[in-house]
Amino acid sequence: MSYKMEQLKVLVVEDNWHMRALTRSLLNAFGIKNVDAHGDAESAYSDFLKERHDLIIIDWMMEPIDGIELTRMIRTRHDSPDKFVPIILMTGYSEKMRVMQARDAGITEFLVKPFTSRTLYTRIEHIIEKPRQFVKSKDYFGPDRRRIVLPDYDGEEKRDDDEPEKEINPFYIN
Amino acid sequence: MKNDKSKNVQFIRPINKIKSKVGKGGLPPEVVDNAQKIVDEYVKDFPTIAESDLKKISNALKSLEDDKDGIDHDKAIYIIHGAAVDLKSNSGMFNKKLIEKLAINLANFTEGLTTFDADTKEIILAHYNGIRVLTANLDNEAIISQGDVMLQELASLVRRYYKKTQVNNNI
Repeated sequence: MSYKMEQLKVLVVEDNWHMRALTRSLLNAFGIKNVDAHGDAESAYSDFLKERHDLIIIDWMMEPIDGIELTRMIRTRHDSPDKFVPIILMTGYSEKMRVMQARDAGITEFLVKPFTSRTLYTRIEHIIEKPRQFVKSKDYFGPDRRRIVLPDYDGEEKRDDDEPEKEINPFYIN
Repeated sequence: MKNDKSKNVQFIRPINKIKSKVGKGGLPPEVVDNAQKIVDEYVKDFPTIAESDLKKISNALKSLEDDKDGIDHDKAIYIIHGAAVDLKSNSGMFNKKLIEKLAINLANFTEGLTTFDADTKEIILAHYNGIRVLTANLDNEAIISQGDVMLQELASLVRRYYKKTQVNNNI
């Protein structure tokens, strides 16, 4: 038995036509036939309002609305049909500062370009098998940003009210 | 849903809709491996892909050179850096290793760069020209074969810049 990927509806937002076509082809090869692809954030968001996709793959560098801003729109706008939808952010940036910026916007997974089919699949598999709880606070709404648990850590807990994480869910970077 | 009143933070575990749709079992490894062939064999026109990023670098350089009143140096350098990162991504994705290396060098150099002077301009322009020449001559083996020499020259240029900057900072 394997995943029934044909059940999924995926939204791809990438302003580079070739990268958009390539990402769509990769998803098709995984068995995901229902892929809506857009070259700009505004039309993508309009489509999301109607189609309510199961997964969104967004490029960071787009104009006039970039991938970070689109992520915030999806997570926080009142008209967003699914604020919990998993979001994979594709980007050439890999510096820690950029990862933190993306994480703070509410992305689910980070995918550094260039990537392989396996890397993309790993991100999708992770979203399916290791979903993250969401955090809602005054300053943030999105997947829990605490990612790594050290199983062998035997030191004292930093916060009295912290419950131990049950899942190891590292923030993947190529 | 948990509610941590002391921090006014809510923890929410949404329904895993995606899992309920796809079921279990993962994808067979051969499906993922076959998908990689699509990447490897993707027919593409790399010069067209690179053109918009090269244009961004060229325009940003020109605006810095013109040094018009009110020009935002940080913004221009940010644009150049972003274009270099994009070039790195696309050249890596489409297997243009030499261009990828040059773009990585340019991205590293412009990351956190705060000044624009004759030296920084020379380095950015040299990388830009190198990428442009390689992009326009992807089938020219004579030029491609000189790529490693070009890379070394540019690395040496960057090293000299940092050495000079360090000396100036120590004075």
